[in-house]
Amino acid sequence: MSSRRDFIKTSSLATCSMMLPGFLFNQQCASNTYKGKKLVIIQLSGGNDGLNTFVPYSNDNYYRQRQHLAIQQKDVLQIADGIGLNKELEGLRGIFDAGDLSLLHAVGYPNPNRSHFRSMDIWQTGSSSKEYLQTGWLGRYLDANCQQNIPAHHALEIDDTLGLAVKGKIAKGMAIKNPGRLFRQSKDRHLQYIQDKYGKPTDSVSSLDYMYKTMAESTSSAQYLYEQSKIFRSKTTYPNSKLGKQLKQVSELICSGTETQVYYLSLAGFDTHANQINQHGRLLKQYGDAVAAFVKDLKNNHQWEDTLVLTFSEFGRRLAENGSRGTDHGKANALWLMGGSLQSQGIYNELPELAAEDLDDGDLKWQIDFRQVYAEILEKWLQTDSKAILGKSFDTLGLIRPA
Amino acid sequence: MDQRKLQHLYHRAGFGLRPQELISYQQQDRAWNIQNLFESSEQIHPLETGLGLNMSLREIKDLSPKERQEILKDQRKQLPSLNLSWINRMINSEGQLRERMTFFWHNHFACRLKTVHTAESYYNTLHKHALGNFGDLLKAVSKEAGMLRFLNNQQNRKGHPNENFAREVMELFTLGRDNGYTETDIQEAARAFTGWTALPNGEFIFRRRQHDFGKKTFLGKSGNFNGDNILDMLLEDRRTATYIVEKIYKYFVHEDLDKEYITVWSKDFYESNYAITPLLQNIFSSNHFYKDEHIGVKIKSPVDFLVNISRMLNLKMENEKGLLAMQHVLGQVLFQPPNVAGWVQGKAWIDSSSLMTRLSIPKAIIFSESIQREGKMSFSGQEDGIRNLGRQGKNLAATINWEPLIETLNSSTGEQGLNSLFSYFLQVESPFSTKDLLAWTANDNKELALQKSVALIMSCPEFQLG
Repeated sequence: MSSRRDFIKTSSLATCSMMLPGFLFNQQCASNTYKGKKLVIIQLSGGNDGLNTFVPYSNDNYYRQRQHLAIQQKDVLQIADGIGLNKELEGLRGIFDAGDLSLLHAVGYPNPNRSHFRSMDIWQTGSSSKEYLQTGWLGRYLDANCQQNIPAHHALEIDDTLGLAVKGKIAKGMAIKNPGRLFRQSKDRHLQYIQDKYGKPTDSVSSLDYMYKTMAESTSSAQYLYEQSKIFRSKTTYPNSKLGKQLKQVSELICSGTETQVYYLSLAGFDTHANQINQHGRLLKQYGDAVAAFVKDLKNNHQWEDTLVLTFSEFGRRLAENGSRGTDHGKANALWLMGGSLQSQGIYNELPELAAEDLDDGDLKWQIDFRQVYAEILEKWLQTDSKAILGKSFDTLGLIRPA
Repeated sequence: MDQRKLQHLYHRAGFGLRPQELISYQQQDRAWNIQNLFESSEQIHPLETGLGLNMSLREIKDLSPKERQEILKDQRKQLPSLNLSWINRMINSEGQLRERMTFFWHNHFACRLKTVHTAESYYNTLHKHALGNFGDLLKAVSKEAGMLRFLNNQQNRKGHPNENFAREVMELFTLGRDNGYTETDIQEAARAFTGWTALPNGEFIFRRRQHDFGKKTFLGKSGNFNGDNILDMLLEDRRTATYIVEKIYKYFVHEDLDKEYITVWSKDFYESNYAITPLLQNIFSSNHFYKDEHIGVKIKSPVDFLVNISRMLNLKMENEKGLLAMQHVLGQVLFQPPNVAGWVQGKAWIDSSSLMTRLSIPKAIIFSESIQREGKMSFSGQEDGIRNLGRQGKNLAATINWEPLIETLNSSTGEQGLNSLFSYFLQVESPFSTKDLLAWTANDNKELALQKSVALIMSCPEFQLG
């Protein structure tokens, strides 16, 4: 068996394009397109009830189908004609009024799937409901970026484990909860010792070299993020919730000029089959208050213009309430963008009347394919070819101000 | 038999050689070892945890909706126990090959199971046919309640077809994607599968009233086909044999296919009428299997990694929930593949956090330390106590029986013992030398030196390869 050390010396360095999956082969290797634009994704896991988030308070069908769960007009925070925020979302009101929120109704996809796992996979991989893709839409964005050594911290998921959305075939984001903790872990003397023995990472495609390369990147990214995290302390008060702390973390990294383009966060618990009002309310409050602090912080530090926040859930919930004061899995749903550079501000499209003909077996029919939203973000915000990443062309939506 | 090749066989056909087996097996030749693998796996041992429904169909039908919900809830809650039963089998069973194949078929006939009784039945079907006949296996799994429900076949009725089941049977279980069938074939197959559903107690039932008895045209032939006919026709197609052999090759030999071997082995597999044992015997007895470029190149899946450590160290976790948490944290939970296409193998297992976690686990277990990591939250947002390696106590504490390792490797201080450690734990060259290990353990007594050496060796990326 030839020694691995010999192999490293004699193997040729594979170029980035040789490692890319077939359909990206013709992708022109873009130069570093990161112009300081940040994308923040907040995934609401479980199936957020859009109808009780942005409440259609003038709609009779809504009240008829939700005798117990419908939010009354007097309890909503009115933001537009016939639409009000769930009162727990006070945090979003200022953002909406400032023209920094774009609300899309009935976002979904053909042949929707109402299984959490399946639908979340569809959203995270940007696939059709008939395909099983094994890479995330943002992961494929990382792959297509074609930088020779794209650092792992270019896309961060605030969690202990990396989800599918930021996993590409070759390039992957990095999961991190706490820069300090990650840095300490990377300094473990066993791991340091092993890395020191290895030598310089190569671009070869062997499994072993892939692991050493990943290890080296993790260590250097951990160090980088730790140092970055010490640069800037936010002066804004954040709520003490899980999302509050995470968004504070993200904001401090953004404001310290960290070279991260994508931040992925999630908030779980939206699967409100029973006793929805309180649970949903608590989650919305956590979300709204955390986001409000985040936006304020970024604005104070002149970062809001360069930040875009997408909030989505894997499906909405049924129009009619069930027998347990809750709602069951639905289909199309509300989705919203927030940012300091929106072209389309406020309500993007109307919610249908919610009469029988507007529904697909009791669920909201989709009007906008979620991949159009992705295409919009990829083309206008991340300035990359969305067709290569999504597999086909989707019409964009005019949501984001041209650069 | 050459040690590295022996270990290669046991890493692929089983879950790794235990130290107590090394000396005696190595003294035997390849033929003996292969025979040993098959003989040890002859017996079928169904899982009978007693956690299933334990009710007759009549009793189930008499339950009120609320009682039914309670029972379902309980069935779901018990799934982790079934997971542990399975992983413990992988660790302890003498029938390593049968367990390996059961695990392989789980990833091929990938299905997310929601209740203990459907999960247990599904496992038992895979286990029973694992080394038998692929046709029998295909037909049996296709009638498992868990599979039919997962692929929504209870919604597939005459006049209201649901193609999901038919599509996946063709795309993933038999012919492979876009391999000579049309969308129409899928639709016609779906019609043939109408009426295939399961009773509340998990038994398969053919509901005549839901079945479309009409004429169908499938893969160029016409007739009043039913589900079994479709499966037979898929088996009659040689491409199914090739597809299965290719999958087995990728899993057991190498990610890159060798056309010549595939052609020969597929032909044999087809002509033996899909006999699995002869196929595996062909593979494991070929020189091709033992080629240098096939050894130590496969990144262990999370379950492989956990079972492998447990066997090599003869270990027992003090809190078995640790085994569940580690599955969640590393991204592979038995009975919960991400979707019907199964888990993606190879480099897909590796990202910064999963790699750093893998590299940290052996040392934490050996020195009874704790690691804090949380797996992905459930959609309901509820903590169920099994996804996280938490903050309390030494969550990876385990009892390790070092004796077999000591005896087998004749570990004394000095070069000979340390070299033996490298060649046992690693299938590739170690990143450091015995000199390095001696320096690393310079002032330690024999016992501690062994533990530290093993911990260091298992902490390197090389240990992730099997």
